[in-house]
Amino acid sequence: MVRKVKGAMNEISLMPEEQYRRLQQRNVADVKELWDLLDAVKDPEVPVLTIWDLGILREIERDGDKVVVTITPTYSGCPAMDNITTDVTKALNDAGYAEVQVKTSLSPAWSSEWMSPDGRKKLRNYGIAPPEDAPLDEDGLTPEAHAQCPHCGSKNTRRVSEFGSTACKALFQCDDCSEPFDYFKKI
Amino acid sequence: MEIHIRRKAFGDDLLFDNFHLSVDRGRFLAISGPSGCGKTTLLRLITGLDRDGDVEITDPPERMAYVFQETRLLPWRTVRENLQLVADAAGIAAPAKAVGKMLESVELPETASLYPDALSLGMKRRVELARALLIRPDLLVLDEPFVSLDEGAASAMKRVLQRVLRDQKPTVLMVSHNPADAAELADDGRDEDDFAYMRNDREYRNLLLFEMPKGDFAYSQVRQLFSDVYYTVLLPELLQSKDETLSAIAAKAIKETKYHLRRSRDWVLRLGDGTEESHKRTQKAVDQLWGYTHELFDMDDTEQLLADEGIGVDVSKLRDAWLKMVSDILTEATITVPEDSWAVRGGRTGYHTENLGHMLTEMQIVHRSFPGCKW
Repeated sequence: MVRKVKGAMNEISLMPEEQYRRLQQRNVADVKELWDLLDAVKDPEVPVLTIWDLGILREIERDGDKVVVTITPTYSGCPAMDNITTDVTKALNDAGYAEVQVKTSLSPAWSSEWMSPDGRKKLRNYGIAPPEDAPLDEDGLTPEAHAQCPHCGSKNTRRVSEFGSTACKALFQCDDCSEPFDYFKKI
Repeated sequence: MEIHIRRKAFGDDLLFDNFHLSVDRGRFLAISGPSGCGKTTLLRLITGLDRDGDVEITDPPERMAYVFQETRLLPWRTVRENLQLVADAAGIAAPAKAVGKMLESVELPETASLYPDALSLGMKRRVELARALLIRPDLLVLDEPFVSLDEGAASAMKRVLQRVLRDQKPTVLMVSHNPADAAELADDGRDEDDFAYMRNDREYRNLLLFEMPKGDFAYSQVRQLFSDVYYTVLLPELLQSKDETLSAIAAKAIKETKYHLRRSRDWVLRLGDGTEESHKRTQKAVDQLWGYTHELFDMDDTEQLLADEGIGVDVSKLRDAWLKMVSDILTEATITVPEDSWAVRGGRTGYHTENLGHMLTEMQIVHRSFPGCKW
């Protein structure tokens, strides 16, 4: 199911239900200022994306003086969770919230659907193709070819390796501009 | 405390036959098992509520408190009077202030003057917990403390239990049909670093296949293929788990495993049906690793219990599907499927190959040399 959202008129303003719900969760939160504050925390592997953009940030709650933040890993065994926990705690401490608890939750499981629309654009600009920039094969997996090159826009590309710089990405090469690039898997 | 139940039977039904249990002071022990296996009877024998059995207890606790499965509050007394009655009987002074404080710690302030009928089941159970803890027991016995509670009430009960157990540190015996509840509460202060860095090899329970070394590329990909096919048949079953977290992990891992399997399958096909050298190495890897795959489909008592409860998976039923899938791939790769002529087992009982030792040496050296160090 898709819903209409306000956005630039030059692109199709449709958004998957999952994304819409995430946005609603943030917009109606009691602690909106904390969501904004944590936009300062970037993913250590893809430093152009905030943990919100990537969908790692699941929940922020106040429990008296304590701030409880729930995060979820993108790929099973993701090694960045410790870093992110430290960064979240530091960002909140620096803003005057002394007592911070960061919980890691595996349920519900992260999906690439949760990535924010803004995050997808930022990924492309950073040189990583987001999941929707490739026609998936019949199993819903990364195709052997034709992911759109984030550098030159060509679809004349081929998969070089099932796994790229991290397990959540595949490695492609563009046959027009010859540049290699990472493709963010659909999970 | 050492418990020795020589014999306990109901008529011809022998429940305990030479049963030993030892519990260290201050430990949290959860007892899990299907209905009717004798969990509650065990608690009643230990606490002396059931004296009809040949039981010997060495180092018994001085003061015990029991939270029963069913509500046992006197309806004609207020919450405070219910608490005070038990404290009096135990010879412990329980002024209104102490009672109030105890009720606060179970998140029920302002209830002291209410009658039990005014409380929900979840609240009643927390009142009973407060009543038990008020006498500062050495041994706290909990019989299914979460049974019949809705999710909110159960999580309040867990939160309260975790907090009071940290404060008071009694020895706890808890009966629960849900092992996940037990694990969540059995918070003995060990964190994930302790599990990773301070456990000895014999305390690791991983299956042997997963500790096999990298070897050459053919060996790595064959090992990967065996485990990827294993997950391909296992995870759809685990998705049905009653445990929400396990089911969510399975849901995501199914998607990831598709990528993993596609890669290892591709490579095994290419190497097996490749050059003479790559074929030889792939066949050798298959022959060397085959004997480590049998234990993937063994069940132990714990796993059986988890499977019976709908939490775990009965992996013994998965071998046919695994064998079919692996054989198809190997045959396509022109590799001969080995005979089942040998098997190595031991991962689940802590008997490992030398490879785990090598890995742990590297992984644990810093934490063993500087215990408690932080980056």
